[in-house]
Amino acid sequence: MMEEKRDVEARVVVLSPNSTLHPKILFKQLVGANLKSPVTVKENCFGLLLEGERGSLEEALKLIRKADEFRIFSKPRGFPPGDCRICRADRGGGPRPGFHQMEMEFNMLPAVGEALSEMKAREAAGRELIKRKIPASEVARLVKEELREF
Amino acid sequence: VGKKIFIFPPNSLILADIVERCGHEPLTSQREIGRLVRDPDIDSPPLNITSDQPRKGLKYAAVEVPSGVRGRLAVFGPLVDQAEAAVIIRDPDFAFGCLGCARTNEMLIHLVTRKGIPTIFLDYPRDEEETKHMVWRIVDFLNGLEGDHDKD
Repeated sequence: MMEEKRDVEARVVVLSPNSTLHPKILFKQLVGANLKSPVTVKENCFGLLLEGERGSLEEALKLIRKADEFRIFSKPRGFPPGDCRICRADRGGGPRPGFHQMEMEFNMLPAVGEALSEMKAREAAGRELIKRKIPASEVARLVKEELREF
Repeated sequence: VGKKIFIFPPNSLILADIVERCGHEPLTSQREIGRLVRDPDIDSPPLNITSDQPRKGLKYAAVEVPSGVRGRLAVFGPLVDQAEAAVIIRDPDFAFGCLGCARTNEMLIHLVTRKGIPTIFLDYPRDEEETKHMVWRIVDFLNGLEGDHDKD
C-alpha cells in the first residue's frame, strides 16, 4: 500500500459585492496568523486563493470569517494558486475555467448572505423559520385567497 | 463530522459554502479535479483526463453512451458514490462551461435518484426573494439530516 499523501488542497475565498472589506485586509489578517501549518495566500480581485493542508485551511477560514461572517464565501478549488496550466497569461487570454459560474454566483451572494444572517437572527430569537408541516386547511385557505385575486 | 453531500452543480460556490456552514462535507468537482491535476503522472494536461476516464465511466453508463459523457461521469460519478444526501438545483443558468454536457447532468441526477439517498430538488432562483427561500430550504434540509443521523 502506498503511503497516504499530504491532504493538500486549494480554496477560493470570495468577498460578497456588498462587503465593505477589501481582499488586502483578509490577506493581512492571514499573514500574521499563527496556523498549524503554512498556507499559501494569493490576493486577487474577488478575494483570496489559499493553498495548504485541510486543517490549516479550515483554521484560516474561521479566522477571516470573523471579520464579516455572512459576506465571506468559500469553496474548494482544483488547481493550485498561480498554476500556469490555467493562467490566462500563459494560455493567451480568455476567462479561466470556472470564471463564468463564479461571475454568475457572485451577483447572488448579497441575497445569500442576507438569508443566512436573517436565519441566524431568527434562530437566536428562538423562532422556527420554516414550519415543516402546514395543515391542509391552511393550504386550502391560501390557495383560495390566491385564486380570488385573479 | 457531518454527512457527505452531493451538490448540483458540483462546482457551485453557494451550495458548497452553505453545506460547509451547516457542518457537512460538500462533494465538489474541484476536489476531484484537484486530485487529477496534482497527480505526479500528468499524461494529459491541463485536466489530466486521459483515455482511461471513458473506460472508468463504463461503471456509470453503457458503452454506447458517447465517450465525452462517460469521461465526465468518471470524474463526477465517484462523488455520487460517496454521497449520503444531495442538494440539486434544477436548470441552473450557470451549468455550462466545464459542466456543459446536458446529458451528463441528466445522468448524474438519475444516478442520485436511483441511489435513494435523501435529496432536495430546488428551482434555480430568479430574484432575491427566491434566492433567500432557496437558502432557507437548503439549511432546513441539512439541519434535518443531522437529526436523522442522531436517531441512527
